[in-house]
Amino acid sequence: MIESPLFFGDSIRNLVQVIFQLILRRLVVSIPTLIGVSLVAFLLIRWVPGDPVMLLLGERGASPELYAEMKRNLGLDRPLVEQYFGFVSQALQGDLGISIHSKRPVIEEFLDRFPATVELGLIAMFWAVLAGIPLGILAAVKRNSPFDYLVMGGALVGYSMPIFWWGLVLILVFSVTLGWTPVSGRISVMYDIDPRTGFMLVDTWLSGEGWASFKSALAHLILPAVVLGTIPLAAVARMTRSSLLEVLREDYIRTARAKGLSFYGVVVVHALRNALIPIITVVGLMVGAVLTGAILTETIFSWPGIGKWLVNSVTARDYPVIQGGVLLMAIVVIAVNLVVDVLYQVVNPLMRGKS
Amino acid sequence: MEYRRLWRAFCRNKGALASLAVLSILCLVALLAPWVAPHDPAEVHEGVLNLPPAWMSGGHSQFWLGTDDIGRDVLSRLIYGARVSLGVGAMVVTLTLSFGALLGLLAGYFGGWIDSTILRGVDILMSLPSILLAIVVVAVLGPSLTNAVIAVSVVALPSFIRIVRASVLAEKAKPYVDATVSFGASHTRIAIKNILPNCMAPIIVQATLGFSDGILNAAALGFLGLGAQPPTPEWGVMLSDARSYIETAWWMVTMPGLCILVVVLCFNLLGDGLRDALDPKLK
Repeated sequence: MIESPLFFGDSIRNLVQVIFQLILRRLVVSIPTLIGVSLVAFLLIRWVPGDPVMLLLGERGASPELYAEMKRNLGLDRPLVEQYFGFVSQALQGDLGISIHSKRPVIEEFLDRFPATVELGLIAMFWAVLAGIPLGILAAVKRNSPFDYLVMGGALVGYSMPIFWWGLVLILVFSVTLGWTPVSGRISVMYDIDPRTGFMLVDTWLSGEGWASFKSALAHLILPAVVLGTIPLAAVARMTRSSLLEVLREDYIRTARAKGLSFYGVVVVHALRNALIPIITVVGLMVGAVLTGAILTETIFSWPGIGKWLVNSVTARDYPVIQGGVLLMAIVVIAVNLVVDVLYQVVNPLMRGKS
Repeated sequence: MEYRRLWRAFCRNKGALASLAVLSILCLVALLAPWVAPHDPAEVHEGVLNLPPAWMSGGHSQFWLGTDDIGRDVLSRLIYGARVSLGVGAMVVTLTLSFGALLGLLAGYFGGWIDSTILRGVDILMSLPSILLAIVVVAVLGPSLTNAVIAVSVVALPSFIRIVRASVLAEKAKPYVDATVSFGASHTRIAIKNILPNCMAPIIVQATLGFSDGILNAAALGFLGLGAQPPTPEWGVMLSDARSYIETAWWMVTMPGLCILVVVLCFNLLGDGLRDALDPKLK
């Protein structure tokens, strides 16, 4: 019997059990990876050629007291193994050290900036899926037409796009030449928005500054989101086209057509549902690309997120921030992959219990 | 005979063929840079700052693509930049190819704890977004072109190891390997002389795609100020320099990025074409 890829004919309880087992298994598997990443993050400071303390104090010239304090702050005055266990046990309690630059806890700095990156990434993915799937469907349906060639050519270029350049080009066209969008930041300096959720689009609604502030936040978001969504958009459009073309060859599509259903009805109701599985896989794979892209996009648009923060801290040699940021980024990636896996199992019953 | 068949299969893909032509020309230009470039890339021409391209009003026929903010010829810098970028790509691919093939072969051939140790390492490298991983490596080694090459190679390594390992596993299961073992051949001999040559198809494809990733990531590092350092005529560095002049000198922003895009696109198309020609099953 051919199973339908969505829930139907499957008990919810069975699904919940499978998902629970999957999460448990994946968590166990990710422990060694996390240990490895923590080791890398930990050794980072210690790998730097020369004395990191002198490196950090170098420009100002170090008094012996300052030197000792800095060394203690970085935890470099104890034996290496002890240092590592100290680092891990503190990290488990949410203490990732103090930023040398801002003198604030690394975890606080991270949490302040994280929502900005999530907001940007979500809107970028949203745009990629919203535009990519219809473009892919139309390209598949109008196979070998000029439209198909245009979309696939565009997808090929989009997939190879150096997005740091793409961002500059869009700024050149839309901000500098046409004056439609602002160049940088999250919102106009006219507004003072209370960061309740950290998501500017939500916060502007809650703030009472009203529609104008929301519009300002949206205008600031559009270009970075389009830039960040470019590579996922290309990947989604390509995958939608190819998996839809494959599905459209199946017998049941012909049967549905023979029953007298309209062509687009068959495409959207019957074909797309089955074509969705590889599309979801691509969306999942693209999350990594979005995190990478965020680092570049945030730098171009001065978007106050994680990416810009990490790049700045590397330039400023703020090692506690690099160390903590790397660990937190790895945790985010592992968590996101877990969510994608779970979604995949929900959508595709054939995969259940196999991963 | 075999090569002729491959070449014919490859030629059917017009995009890949065109890419090969474009890349060949670019390589030639890069190699012959001192003779092809109209000016020295570092030479500062007095009194011609921010000159627009020759076809625009105010342009000068001596500077086809205009000059930058301190009067250097943009075209010459792009031509020398091709040297840097293609060289970086070649070095990254050589590094990842040697280490990736070695580790992938070890993991796939011997299995057991060797395999799981290598795979764990791959997992760790893959749990960081690629640019972040490169940034971390640069943070340790310090920003320079050489360190950027090392960083980008580290980033490219995991996917390479995985692909080599997977194809080694597939080859190892074939009867000819058992036959060679029964002849009493040593592990090293079987792994290198028998298995590796049969895994060449995916390795070649991955190496081609590795070029595009390597060039793209190295340019991104240069752009972030963590790769090649000014005044090196590197495309990413040129873009980053041009950022401040985006309102006045569009050619400084568009040209280097266009070069990166064309090279990356060509390597991607070439990789796709090679994959279709070498291994129709992978299509």
